[in-house]
Amino acid sequence: MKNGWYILNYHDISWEENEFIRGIGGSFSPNDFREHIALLQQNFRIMGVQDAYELFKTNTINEPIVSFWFDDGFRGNRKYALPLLENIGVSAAISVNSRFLLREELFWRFKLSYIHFNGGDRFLRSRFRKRNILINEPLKELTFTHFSSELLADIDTVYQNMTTKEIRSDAFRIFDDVDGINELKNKGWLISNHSAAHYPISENSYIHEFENQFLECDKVLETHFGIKNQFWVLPFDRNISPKVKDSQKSREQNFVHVGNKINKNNFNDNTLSRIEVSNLFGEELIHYLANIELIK
Amino acid sequence: MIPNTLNASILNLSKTTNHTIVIITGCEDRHKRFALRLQQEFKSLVIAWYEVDSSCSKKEDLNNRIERNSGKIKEQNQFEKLKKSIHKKGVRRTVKLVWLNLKNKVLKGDIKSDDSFFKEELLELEAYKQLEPIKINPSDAISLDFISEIKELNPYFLLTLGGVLHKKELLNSIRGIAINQHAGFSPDFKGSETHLWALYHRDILKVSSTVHITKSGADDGPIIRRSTPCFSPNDTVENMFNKVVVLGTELIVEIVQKIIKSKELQVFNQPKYIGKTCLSKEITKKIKGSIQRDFDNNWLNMELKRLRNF
Repeated sequence: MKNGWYILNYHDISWEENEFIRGIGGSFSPNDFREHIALLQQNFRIMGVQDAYELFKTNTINEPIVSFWFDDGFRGNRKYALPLLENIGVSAAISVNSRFLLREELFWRFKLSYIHFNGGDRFLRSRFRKRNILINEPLKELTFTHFSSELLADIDTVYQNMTTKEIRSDAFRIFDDVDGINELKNKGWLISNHSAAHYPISENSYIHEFENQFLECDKVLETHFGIKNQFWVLPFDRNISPKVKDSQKSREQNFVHVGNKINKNNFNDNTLSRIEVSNLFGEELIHYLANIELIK
Repeated sequence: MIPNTLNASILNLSKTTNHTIVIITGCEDRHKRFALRLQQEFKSLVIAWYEVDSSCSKKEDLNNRIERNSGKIKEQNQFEKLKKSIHKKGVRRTVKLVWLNLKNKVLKGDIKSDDSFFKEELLELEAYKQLEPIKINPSDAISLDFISEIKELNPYFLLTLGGVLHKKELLNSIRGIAINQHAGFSPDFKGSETHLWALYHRDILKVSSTVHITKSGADDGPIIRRSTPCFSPNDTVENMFNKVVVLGTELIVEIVQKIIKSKELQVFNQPKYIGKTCLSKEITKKIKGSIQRDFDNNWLNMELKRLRNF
């Protein structure tokens, strides 16, 4: 393994993958996560994000170090990942979306997944057709390409029509709440900002909301957890707009994305790269990490 | 998740601060995990754990052994049973029944869940054990003596996984609620080996866990939660079953936590004449073979990708 800081990116660690998540993916079962930990222990030094970050800042990483970073604030991280990591004496980082945390708004991709698995694609397509959106693409891709507040409203309208108040309330069960995140914070986890509602704000289609979304979430982190947040964790990390770099120059926060690269010393552009691994099982993980490149 | 296609109603449970729990399970590792996980979560609220085990002697047999020695009860062995059957049903019918019984045993093969799945976690959960299980024969688990024993314990919750179909008298005696987890998608698939039926039909969305109010019928009580596990492309049939069971246990933990806080529970009534109650004997070697061929041909990986591709 190359020396450097490998930040492994996960989403939900849970036995459950219901209709909200199934179409989007990102769930990883606790027994698979346990196996990951066992394999990583044989090949890396495992450290908490905060501790590894201190080494990274001072250019003193001279061995392969692994940390865990969980996105979207899922409850499963506290239920299942926390005890497994506590067993090996390590904390992790979790990036939360404030509107999911406060039950103000459900993740729009989860609404899309629910709509799809309940036969509601046709309702979305007919609304998109009226907006002259070409509907030949798969829905998941199409909603990225044409993302807008009108498209969001369409998805929400269909979702509201297809669900009851109880289903919508129950849907938030997969996200952790303020008490849960406080518990993680008290156990040494780093709590960070994944924007207010996980829109594709680093893409050109919605870049105008970039700072607003992160600032909204920063305010919630300060109010509920007393945190002066250091990390802005980019949602989606697909086609990053050049304007993100511009924003980065004027901000003191570190920008965290999924670059699938190893972080080396040379801390000079306040960017951290993470490695997506929840699609890798068993020894695949180690082979993949052995071939990852260093960030340049 | 709550089932979105069934009619909901609200159940108001009796208010109390005494939320004692009695657990009844089978005796495989997945049942042990169920019981230990509940003890981990609810600690001293768990006041009894019964493990239904057919290798455990019946109380009646124990009594018979005493009476046999005094010559009071004549032991009925297989030869006696055969003689009785010939007398009642005739030679031809008896031979046919014996042949069918033998054929089913040969065709059925042997599917056991992969209990090594639970080994590591069971070792960790041992630290949370509050009670040793009380072994009980299936016949005794439906006896009046057992019902009296449970009534005496007077639990608020009766939580079950595996074991037997319980009598109405037992279920009605529970102060709060009796909840069972079923490794299947009710109402469509109730009974035994339901995950195999779902896989045979290549309906991965019905490889699911249902947590419901326990009734005397198999898996047909009002549903409280129903959801699907997180599968991996390299899961075996046995792993998928184990994940279904684990998910059900986690859902029960959530439900009990919720009931302890609030006695109002939303439940979803199962339509009476919809769905299939599956029997183990219906899962033949051919059906198992079909399922295995799908797995050997990488069906699960392709299906998981297909579900995400819309």
